[in-house]
Amino acid sequence: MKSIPTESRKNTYYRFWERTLSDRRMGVGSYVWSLHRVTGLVVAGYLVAHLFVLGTILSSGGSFDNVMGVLAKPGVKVGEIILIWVVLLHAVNGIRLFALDLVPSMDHRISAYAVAGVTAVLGILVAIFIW
Amino acid sequence: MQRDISEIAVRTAARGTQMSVLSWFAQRWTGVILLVFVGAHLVVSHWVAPSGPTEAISAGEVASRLQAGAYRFLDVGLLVVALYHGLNGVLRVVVSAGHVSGRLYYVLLGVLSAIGIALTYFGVVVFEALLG
Repeated sequence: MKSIPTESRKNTYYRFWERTLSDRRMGVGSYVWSLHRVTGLVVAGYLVAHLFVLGTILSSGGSFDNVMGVLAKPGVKVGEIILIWVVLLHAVNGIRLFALDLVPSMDHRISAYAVAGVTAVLGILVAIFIW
Repeated sequence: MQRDISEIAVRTAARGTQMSVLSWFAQRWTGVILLVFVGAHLVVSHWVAPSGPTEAISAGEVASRLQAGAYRFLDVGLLVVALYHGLNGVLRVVVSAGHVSGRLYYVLLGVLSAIGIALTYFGVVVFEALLG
């Protein structure tokens, strides 16, 4: 097993891993950071898939309405709601990061709790609205 | 004296990766733009354009919606900005793992740029041809 590297050689994922394994609990800010990364990758993947699917449907001539009929089923609605939750967390935490850049004196732990709260509230509203 | 979080963040970003602070701010600003564009896209696609908020959108409505310049601007703008923000984000996620040599960085940059350009071309030209 390699020796533990010096502080400057630890990348951001290594530091995150250290924190989860040590007996110091992972703060809410770390959760929100990890979720921000994960949701970002998920949305990026969805974007590519969305474009690909739309292109395939449109180029196969005339079956757009059929596919939209399939997509109107309630199971797909659940998927839509989950997708919007994923985008919502990424967006709300993104606003928090921008605010931290502009107002450095802002407390980054309290704002992490605020992100969780705002996302939960807006997520419930969105789910009620779409369902 | 404790350093504030933004100084730590910028120093970490500058030291741990080879990416410029300019792209750091570009992520922020494209994110803000996307807040508006994605929200508008959801509202237009699911509420304004279909015959009713609970209906699925039809091909004819998509085509007629795209006749207006404002909706085309929204769609193309969303495509370009979202692709930039997403692909730049993927690049940052990979580079922040460290040990990305100069050559690997430029390979990654080239691959992601190619994907971005190809999907933009695909989105604009092909959809234009298909929907008229």
